[in-house]
Amino acid sequence: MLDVVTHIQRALDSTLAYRFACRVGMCGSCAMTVNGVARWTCRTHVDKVAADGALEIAPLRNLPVIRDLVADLSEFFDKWAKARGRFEGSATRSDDFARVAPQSAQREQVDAAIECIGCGVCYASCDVVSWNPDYLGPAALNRAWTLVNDVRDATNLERLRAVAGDAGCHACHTHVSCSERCPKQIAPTAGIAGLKRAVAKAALRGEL
Amino acid sequence: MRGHPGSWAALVHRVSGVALALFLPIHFWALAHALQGEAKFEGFLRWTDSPLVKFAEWGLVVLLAAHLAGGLRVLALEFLPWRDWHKGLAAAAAGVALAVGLAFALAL
Amino acid sequence: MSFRNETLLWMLQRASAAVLALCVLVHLATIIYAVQGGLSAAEILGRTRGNYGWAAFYSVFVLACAVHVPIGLRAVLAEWLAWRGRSRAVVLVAFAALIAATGMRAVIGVFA
Repeated sequence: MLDVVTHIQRALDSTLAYRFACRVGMCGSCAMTVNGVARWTCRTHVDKVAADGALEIAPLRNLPVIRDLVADLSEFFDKWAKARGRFEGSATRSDDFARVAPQSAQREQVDAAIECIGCGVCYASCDVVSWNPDYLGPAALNRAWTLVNDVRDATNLERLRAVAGDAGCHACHTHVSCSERCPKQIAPTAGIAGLKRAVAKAALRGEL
Repeated sequence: MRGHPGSWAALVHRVSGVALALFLPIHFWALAHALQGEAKFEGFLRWTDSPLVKFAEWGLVVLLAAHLAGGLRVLALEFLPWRDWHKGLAAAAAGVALAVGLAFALAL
Repeated sequence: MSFRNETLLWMLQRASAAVLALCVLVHLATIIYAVQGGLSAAEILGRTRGNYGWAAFYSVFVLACAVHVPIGLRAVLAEWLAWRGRSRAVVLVAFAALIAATGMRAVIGVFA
């Protein structure tokens, strides 16, 4: 599909604006809507999507369009920050290294979700994102889940407060579109369910 | 936006829930006829014998079964450890709902 | 804080869902059994009149509905009608009261 878009820009309409970088399925920059489904165009073969010989290429859904096929991902990353999707440790350089067992239950949860490269496909595929403009979205919540399970992080209570609420994990209605469409086979649904349980546990313990 | 089993399951769950929510007060009003004595209640039940009402009753049973099946799917996705076959729960829920609808239709 | 409220509503919804799952299973089985050979007031009331077991069962059923239905509608109103805030809460609480009141009236109707 990326070859098709590139051909259009080179041979048919030089004004076409579109995004790509690595061309080999590593960066996620080329994500677009192809025949109604958000995909990486560099990893989508025309045979697979043009079943009846027709192709419709559009920018990613649920995001403002800058021009043509280029979407503005600012709100996507802003929500990442709102979900406290960044690591905040408490150790200093004089402390010893943290020891995290790879086979521990928590680390396995992190490892299943850590490979996210922020391509926006899940966000573009989510019905709740389109219905609720404040909804943090699958990627931001997935990242929050990896940090909730990171034993080195020191701000979990604040993070749980950030991801709870009707703009957070509680707005997920398990359509599972995110897990269905993620090009890296991550299941944000699992992480969001985990966040729901973690928030409930904290509430029952009076910590929230 | 192209659908997939999960989004259809969620949509059916939501629409059936709204329909049941609207039906519930009517259901309670109908049953309260019993307060007026057995004869009045019997008279009301005879009115429900008409084929149109029976069809509506069947529809409600299917909606209830669909909402239950969809709800069990949500509870499974939210409380059980994630497995890949969870994506297939939507189909399972649909199957259960249809089975219940069939059972009711045969019982009628 | 909105997150505490949302967390509580989420827990109530799942708890009432678990209760309703059992109630609905019993209810569907009863319906399919009762509807065979036609419905009659005598048959239904013969089962429920003076029966504390059925009265308790249906009371739990009604109250679980009064919790579950408004919380469920809350999300639909917000996401499909963009209705949030105080007025939505007032309407939903009123609807909860309606379900509880008409439901218990019906339970008494078939018990008394």
